[in-house]
This record gives sequence, C-alpha cells and structure tokens, in this order.
Amino acid sequence: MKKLLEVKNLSIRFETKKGVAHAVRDISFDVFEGETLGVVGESGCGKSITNMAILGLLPENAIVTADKLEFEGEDLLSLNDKSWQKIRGGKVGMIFQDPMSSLNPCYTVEYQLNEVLKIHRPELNKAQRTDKVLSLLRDVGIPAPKERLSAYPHELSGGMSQRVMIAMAIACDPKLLIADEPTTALDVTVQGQILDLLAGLQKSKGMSVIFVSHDLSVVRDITDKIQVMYAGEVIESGQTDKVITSPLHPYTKGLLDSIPSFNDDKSELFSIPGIVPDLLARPKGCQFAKRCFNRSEKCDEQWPKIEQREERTLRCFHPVS
Amino acid sequence: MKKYLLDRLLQLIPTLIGISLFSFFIIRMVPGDPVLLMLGERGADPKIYLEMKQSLGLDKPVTTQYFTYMKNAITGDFGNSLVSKRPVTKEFFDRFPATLELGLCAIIFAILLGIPAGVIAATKRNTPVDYLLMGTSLVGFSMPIFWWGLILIIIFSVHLGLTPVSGRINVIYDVDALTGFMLIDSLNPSVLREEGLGPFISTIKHLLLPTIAMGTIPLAVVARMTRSSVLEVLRAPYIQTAKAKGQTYRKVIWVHAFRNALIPIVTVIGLLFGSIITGAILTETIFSWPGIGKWLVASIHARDYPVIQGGVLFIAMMIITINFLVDVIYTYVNPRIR
Repeated sequence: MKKLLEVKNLSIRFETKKGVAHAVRDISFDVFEGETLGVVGESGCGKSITNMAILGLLPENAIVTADKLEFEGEDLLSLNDKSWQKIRGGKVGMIFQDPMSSLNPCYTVEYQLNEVLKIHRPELNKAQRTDKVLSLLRDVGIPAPKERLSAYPHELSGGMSQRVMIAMAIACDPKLLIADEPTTALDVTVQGQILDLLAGLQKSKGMSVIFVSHDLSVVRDITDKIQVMYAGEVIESGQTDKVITSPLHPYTKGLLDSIPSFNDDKSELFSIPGIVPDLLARPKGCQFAKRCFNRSEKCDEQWPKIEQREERTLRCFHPVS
Repeated sequence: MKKYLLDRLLQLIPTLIGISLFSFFIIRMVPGDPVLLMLGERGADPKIYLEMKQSLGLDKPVTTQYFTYMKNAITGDFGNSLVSKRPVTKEFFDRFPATLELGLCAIIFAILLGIPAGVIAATKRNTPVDYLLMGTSLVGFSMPIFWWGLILIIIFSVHLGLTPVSGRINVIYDVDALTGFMLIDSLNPSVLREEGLGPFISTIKHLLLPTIAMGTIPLAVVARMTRSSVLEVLRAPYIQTAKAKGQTYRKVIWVHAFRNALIPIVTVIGLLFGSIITGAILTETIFSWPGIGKWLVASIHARDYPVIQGGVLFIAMMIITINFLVDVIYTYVNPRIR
C-alpha cells in the first residue's frame, strides 16, 4: 500500500494574549491508500485542529510546525493558496459535525454541489455537471434526487443535509475523506445510516478516510486503525481491534469503560474523573497523570516519550496490560 | 405571497388612520393661529378674522374638522394649502420627485461606498485599514447634517468653485418636468437635441453635495452594519465548508459570506429610508432644494394645517410602501422566509 498522508512531529500553537497555547504537540501518523483511520478523544483534544492543518484551514494566528507534513509526497507546509485550493475539495474532501449549518442557507443543493464541480472539474459542461450531481445524490442515498436539486438547506432534515455534505465531499473523487464527527449532531437511527453510507463509499471508491469522533463505539466498526488523542497528543495508536480488545493506555481503557452497554448489570456509568488540562498551563509530566488511576511520581515529573510496542505506539510509563 | 401582500395592505389602513389623527391634533396643539398669520402681524379687523376662519372651517370643533377632513381625504381631496390655495396633493407631487431623487441618490451613495467599506473592514479586522474605515464612519455618523452641508459648500463651492450652491439645475436651462426626476428629464430627446448634455451634467453637479450631505450618516450606518454582519457570518460553519471545497478567498467572501450578511443589511437600508426624510428637511433647507422637506418646514412656520396633515400622511405612505418593497426584496435575499 502506498502512503497517502505522512505526518511527523506536527505541532500547532496559538499565540494568544494570555500566552502560547500548544493545541497539538508532536503528533505523528500515516494514512495509507484505502485505509480508514479513526481519531478518538474528548472534545478539545486537538482532533479537529489536526484535520484543519491537513487542509490548511487553521486561523491566521496558528503556528504550524512539523518535520514532515506530506500528502502524496507533496509538502503541505510550503503550499501557496492556489495549490491549497486544488487539494481542498479536490484531493481531500471534508465533512463536518453539524450538517444543518454546514450548508450555505442561501443556495440550493444543486448550486452548492455544482460549485465543487466547477472548481475542480472545469472541463465538464452544464449538462454533464447536472448528470454528475444527480448521480452523486443517488450515490449518497437521497431519494428522488431530481426534486431535491432546487431544495434549500432549511428544507432538508439533518440526515439529508449530511448526505448532501458527503456528496459534496466525494464529488471530485478525493483520495482522502476527512469526516469530522459526522454523526454527532444526528439522531441515533440516522447515525447508523450515515456510518453505513460512509463505510460503503469508502469500499466502493477505495478512498482513505480519517474518521474523527469522541465516541469509540462509533469508530470501532468502520476503522482499520485507531489513534487516541489526549490534550493535543497522540497517546496510543494501533490496529482497531487490538486497541479495543487490549487497550494499553489508562485513558484508552477509561474511554472504553465509559461506553454504556445494555448487558451491563452495573448500576452506575463509568466516567473518567477530572478534566482536560489547560493548554496555556500544561503539566510538566504526563498530561493525563492528574486523572490517571495508574500514576506514579514519575508521571508528574517526566513527560513520557512515544514508544513503539508491537505495531502500536504508546505514550505512557505504566501501561494497563 | 399573495396573502402576505394582502395582509400588508390591510395593515396600512389602521396605520394611516393613526398617523392622520396624530398629525391632525398635534399641529393644532402648537401655539399660533394660521388665520392671524395670514392676515398679518398687527391683527386684522375681528369681522374679517371671523369670516376668514369660517370660510376655512376652522371655527368648528376640532373633532368635526377631523371627520370632515377624513371624509374628503377618502375621496382623494386633501384640501388646499392655506398659503398658496393650491390642492395639497398637487403641491406634494410637484415636489416629491425632487426629494425622492435626492433621497435615492443618497441611499445609493451610502450603499455603494458603505457595503464595500464594511466588507473590507470585516476581512481586515483589527488592522489599521479596519480602524481607519470604522473611525471615519464614526466621524461621519456623528456629523450634524446642517454643519456638514455647510462645510461641503465652503470647501467645494466657495473655495474650489467646483459645485453650485443651491437648486437642482442651472437656471439657464429650461427642462420640462415630465417625470419630475431631473436626471431623467434632462436626458429627454428634445432637451438633448437643443441643449446637449449640458443640463444632465449640471443636474449631476447640483446633486453632488446634497447627496453627500444627506448620505453620510446612512453611509456610516451601512458600513458598520455590513462589518458586523460579515464578521458574524464569517464564523458560520458553511464558510468553513466553502473553504474546504477549494473555493477562492474572494468567492468565499462575496458568494458565501456576503449573500448571508446581506439579510440584516437590507433591513437596515429599509429603515434608513425613514431617516432620509428627516435628513431631507435639513439638506433641502441648506441647499435650497425644492423638495417636500423645505416645503414642510415652510408650512409649519405658516401653520398651514392642510399641508402639514397631507404632507405627513403622504410621507408615511411612502415610507410604508418602501418598507413593503424592502420586505419583498427580503424574501428574495433570504430563502428561509419564502
């Protein structure tokens, strides 16, 4: 398999009035062709920011440094606006958390789908574009696509809107699809449908997917690899089934234990105590130490290095198993 | 849409009745007697005074006067001016195009400069460009029209000699008032044949300063409103989507952000038309503009009751109509309320 995206020691800082906030610190990962990577972690742990960096969409006060940030061998850090625009929506598609507000309320479904094609497939004429739009809407499972063309976003349900967003993201057959919490804002029933749709599209188009979620149970079924993030760091990563069945990092274990289950006879839900540290005042040692059930003095004093363990990476002094 | 139009038309009736009541009684509460003013300072023979009062119907109780007035108004008769003796309707519509022409120019001036200024300030937020634009607009907003008008006259007319001081067109030109809009009338083929482009250019020169004087406050309002509206919209997720599609920065701003930002701006522009009329009273007085503003001020001085009543009512009607048009435009700008 070919490497599609290579990220090595990526850090993202924000200069604020109160000081420098290290939103993402020293993260490394690869995405291979046709592979699905799940990124898991609590809100505010740097998942979305990492994705924004891959698309060059960070706010202007963000400072991005990396030893390597390459897509198809192309250095993303040195791209100009024009090259970015080719990647965005062309080679990399993206869908967002809240489909209802991610579509522009002033334009019809057809207009917004057409727009992507106009940007990245200028060789198509009007009739060809309409055909393509219709086939895209069919691909994402929208019933009666012809009638939906002239619909405005407010006339669509959340699930429909997300389908349109997906159609937009895959319109130009991207090599990589970034799905940033695509089901979080949806009903549970719709959530399942959208997950199935994404998994199906991934297979039929053979594209790579980065699937971001705060919910391990969502990521579990549709990803090959998982990367668990905490406070802007990758603390554990590896094959999905391995990570799920034998988590190494106490945080990963905590996340897995927090998933409610029907068969559980425990009366109370498990939750990890405490909150994510303030990015402006990071602890010296392990970022998770304060909340960890397995910590020692060493954890407070030293920052654990990322280490390789049988095809898995881990940033912890005291792994669980 | 039809039902909406009808609803709005029906709403017009109570509004107009309210305004007519208001203007009718308020002006009668103001000290000063129109008959005395007409007969002269020293006071006239009591007999003539009484006769005059009777002939004008001013001797009857105020409520009776109101009902007579409304009865005639429904048939389209708004009475005659006490001063000129001509029908109020005619007086009004002779002057209204002048005010409308100036008002439209002022609004267009405000929109053409205010919207780009606001968008630029928003996209260059917290930079010197933003501070300069918003600072200037604050100054513009704070300038009293009568003072600003005089400053403009002093600079452009007195010192630079570039623009005329008063009126709508140079007196050497004789242009028939076909539409009442000097910009259109001066391009009438027969005028063009006889005088060439001279009258048109003269009209523009005459419009220039009053437009700026009248349009400055609306300009500041539009610029500030546009800035905050665009800033608000730029934070919306669909802007992120547009960028993630690979759209150029310019199109993200003008196609995706601006279209949404326009919704509140249209509302504000509609409301500004109301303040334009207030502005007209001052601007027309300073630039001797023969419109309804100047006419109303004169009629208030003369306690010309029918003119004030009719004038206020017509202006109210115009503002309501314009706001109605804005509502119609609004439905085109905002698909969510269609």
